[in-house]
Amino acid sequence: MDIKTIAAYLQLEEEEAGELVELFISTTLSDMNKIRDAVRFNDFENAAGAAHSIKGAASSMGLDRISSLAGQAETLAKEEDFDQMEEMLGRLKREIASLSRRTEAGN
Amino acid sequence: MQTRTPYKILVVDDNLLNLKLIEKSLSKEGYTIITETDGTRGRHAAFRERPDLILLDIQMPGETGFEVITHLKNNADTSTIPVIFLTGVSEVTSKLKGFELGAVDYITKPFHSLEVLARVRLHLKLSIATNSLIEDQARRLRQVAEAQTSMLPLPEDLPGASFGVYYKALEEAGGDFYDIFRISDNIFGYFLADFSGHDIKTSYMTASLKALLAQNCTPVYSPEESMKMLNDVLIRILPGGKFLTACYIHLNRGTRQLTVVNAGHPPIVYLPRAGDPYLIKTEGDILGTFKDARFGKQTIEVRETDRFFMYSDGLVESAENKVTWPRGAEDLLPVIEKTRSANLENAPGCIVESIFNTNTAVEDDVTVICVEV
Repeated sequence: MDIKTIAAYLQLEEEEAGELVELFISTTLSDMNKIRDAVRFNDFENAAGAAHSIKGAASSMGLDRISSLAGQAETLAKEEDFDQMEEMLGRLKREIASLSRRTEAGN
Repeated sequence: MQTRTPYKILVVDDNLLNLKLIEKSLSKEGYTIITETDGTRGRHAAFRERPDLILLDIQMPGETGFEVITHLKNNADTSTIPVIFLTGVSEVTSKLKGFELGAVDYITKPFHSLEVLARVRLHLKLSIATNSLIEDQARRLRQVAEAQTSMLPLPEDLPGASFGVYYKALEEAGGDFYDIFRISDNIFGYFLADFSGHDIKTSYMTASLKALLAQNCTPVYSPEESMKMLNDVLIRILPGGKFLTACYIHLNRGTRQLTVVNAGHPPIVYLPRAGDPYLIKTEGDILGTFKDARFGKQTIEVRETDRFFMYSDGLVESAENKVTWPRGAEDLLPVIEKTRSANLENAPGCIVESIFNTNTAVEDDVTVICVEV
């Protein structure tokens, strides 16, 4: 998804949408770090909370793929299953990197 | 061209992205946005900035949205500000709790900025409509109250009438009414009435009553005839179910004769210059209901500096303490005796202070008039 599509979804100017994408990326990276820490301490509740936060933020931005991946991460945490969490975080990270490249290219 | 101050929206959410998203979407539409990231700061901002609307997250560090709205609704300065909850929680119980605490709406996260905009617009419109309705009603009531008060004469308006008065309407459209008027050089009329009900209709009726007194309380008619004529007109003009109690003192300082006509009103108190106070019990029918009404009448010889007290039932009755005016009036006598040394203008206020300073709450309009011969 490029910046034009995001701006259209949010009904904002591209520059404003760009600021929000930046904010989204930084908060999502911080939430992903929270999930990693939680996995280390077997803290399922905090992991689910951080994943839920990414899911909501992505949905507000119209970033459906990221939202869906974060939703799956939340389900894993709620089911207390951290086996596949690392893989899920990897997929999320690739999506975020892709978003970052596309939105920067659009600017 | 005059421009209106933009509507101010306070957004309280610990999620920075949500804050930014809402800030950008709403400010683009001309709203002024204030953002706070926790409940306590949000509450302080609400008191400080008095926004037109608040978007409030529920789950936040420190005070939750529920705690914040509870504070806001308990304070008169912020209680009418519409609050919309922003929440990731979509459970029915949580929504119901929010509505119970006074929220006007919910926006469930994740939300689209257009949804936020639509709900903000809707609730601002509703709030403006409600506020203007309330303001309009308050303005009308103030006008009525002003008109009513301007109809009530004060001692300085009629120096020859020698009286003091205390008048306090419980609501802006009061049910008590009094008038004091010169009938001839030595003769003054003192009239006190209490309408059933306190609505706007009642207060418009007081204007009619003032005009009726001017027409019918003249040297041509005896006090009793004046009261009968008032009754005949009031039967025709009062709305159904409305009536009034009244008492009328006709004082001739030339002949030192005082006549009391009573229409279902609490008895007046006579405080002779030398002697104990007593009630002039003159029972009579109420005004404005019966065509063949009969009114209690008594004429007494009076002396200079004797005092008379007329009052509305609000002074002596208490629904809460189950006191009706026959007993309340008896209890008034020692209170009035104590005001003997008070000057004329202060005497009514002293009586009210003495009665309501104890443990009795004011439940009705209160009027007290003290007349000195």
